[in-house]
Amino acid sequence: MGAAIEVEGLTKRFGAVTAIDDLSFSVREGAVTGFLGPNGAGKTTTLRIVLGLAGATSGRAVVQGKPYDQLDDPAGTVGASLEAAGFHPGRSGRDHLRALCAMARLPMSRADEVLRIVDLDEKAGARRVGGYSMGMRQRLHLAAALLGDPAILILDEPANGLDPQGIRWLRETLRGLAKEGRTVLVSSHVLSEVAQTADDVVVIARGRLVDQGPVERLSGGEAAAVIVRAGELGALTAALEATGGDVERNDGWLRVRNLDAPAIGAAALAQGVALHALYEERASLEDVFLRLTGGER
Amino acid sequence: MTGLLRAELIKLRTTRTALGFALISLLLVVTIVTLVSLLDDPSTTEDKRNAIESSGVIATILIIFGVVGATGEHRHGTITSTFLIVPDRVRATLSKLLAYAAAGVLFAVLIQIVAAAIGLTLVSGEPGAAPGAGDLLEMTGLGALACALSAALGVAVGALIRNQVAAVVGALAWLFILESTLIGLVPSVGRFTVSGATSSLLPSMQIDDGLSQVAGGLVLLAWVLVLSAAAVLADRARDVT
Repeated sequence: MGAAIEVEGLTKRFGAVTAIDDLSFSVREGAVTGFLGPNGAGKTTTLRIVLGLAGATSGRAVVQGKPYDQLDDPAGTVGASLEAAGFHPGRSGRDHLRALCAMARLPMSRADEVLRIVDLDEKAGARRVGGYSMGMRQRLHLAAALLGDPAILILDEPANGLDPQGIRWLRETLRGLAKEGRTVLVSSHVLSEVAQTADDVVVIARGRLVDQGPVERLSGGEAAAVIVRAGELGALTAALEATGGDVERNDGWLRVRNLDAPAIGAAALAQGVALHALYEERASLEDVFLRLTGGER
Repeated sequence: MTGLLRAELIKLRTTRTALGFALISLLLVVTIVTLVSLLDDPSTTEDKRNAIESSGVIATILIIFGVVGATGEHRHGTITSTFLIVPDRVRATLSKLLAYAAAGVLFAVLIQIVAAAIGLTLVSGEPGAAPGAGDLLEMTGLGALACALSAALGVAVGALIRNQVAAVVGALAWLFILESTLIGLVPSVGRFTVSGATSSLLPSMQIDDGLSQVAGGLVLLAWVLVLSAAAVLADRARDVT
């Protein structure tokens, strides 16, 4: 499958500040891509350029091969939710969506359909947005993004301001939308929010690409070490060292490098040592993310 | 374009802003018409016509109405949703100009009807014939034109100066300080200002050395076109948050 979104050599300067520096990445069609980076890494600026809201200093960003402002049917191609996109506090959520329906030449009934999709009931839809909670606003943002039934969704920090229930709801909704075959690009500064949903990740820091690829790549690959707990460690340590293991001895447990778990299990069996625990220690996604992005949060 | 225009009309209808401006305009016009009709003793047909003319008063209010509408899009961030669906900023701005011009016509006609009903009742006892239907129609038509252009002008100013407070304060200072001074001190230049052109267009507000009605209308239209063009050109280089 081709790329739904392609960013090539994108640079954006605000005066002397370089917000995005020669950034290139692509978003696979039909996949959920997490767009990760610490706050201030340039995620929102990148998305604004992709969506034609801001101009690039150099480089280009295309959606389905075209710059955003040349799309034939923007609302039917891309649905976006950006934090900066707001609502008039005195207008109801439903009326906000109806105005957008008129703009996109969609039937007015579509406003009620998307309100149902994001679980905002009739009463909530009829209320003025000024009285909405953060979670309701995020739902309304998503509803607006879904109006044109787009193939591509671009969501900027959709989990911001959501309570744990809301985050679970968002995760399930995103999964559902991805199952329908949509391409989803979702940005976040909190890795765990997207790790469970994303197929791919694009990681940026200080406006530059740090890593791009399947989400498993971030999980650190091979186990870094094996942790062993056993009743009697002395004989086991000697046996493991004899077979080439690099053993770090701790109070009641061992950290073993250079040997995998089956080899350690076999050695313990040969020594007649009862194992209490045997598990692989991997760098967590969070660790890898923090290392990649320079430890900034 | 029709979809965009429809969206702008939905936006106008679905907040209290337009209603608020309408009520302020109505209150102001009713007060002024009542005071002038009762205290000024209008004794000729022309005096009576001038006493009930309302568009001169609300034209300025409609400029501010347009400014608030256009800058509100940036203040509340709703402009982002608009540009996402309609990336062509010229079309987006144009539809707002047209929608507000239409609202200006509606304001002008409705308020003129109320002003005429109150004013003509109050001055009915004074000597001199009441203005005829033709007079009233002409007055309403010119008023509607002035109000349509004023509201559109406000939108253009708001699209150019996106900060709401700066745009409202700037527009008021421009109209009431700069233009008033020019009209008073250098009428030959002052007649080409927004207020000067509006006054020239409306029969009841003739100023010294004013333009002809047609010229007044054209000058006002030129203001709208120049400011809209400036806003659209500026928008090309400006990012939207």
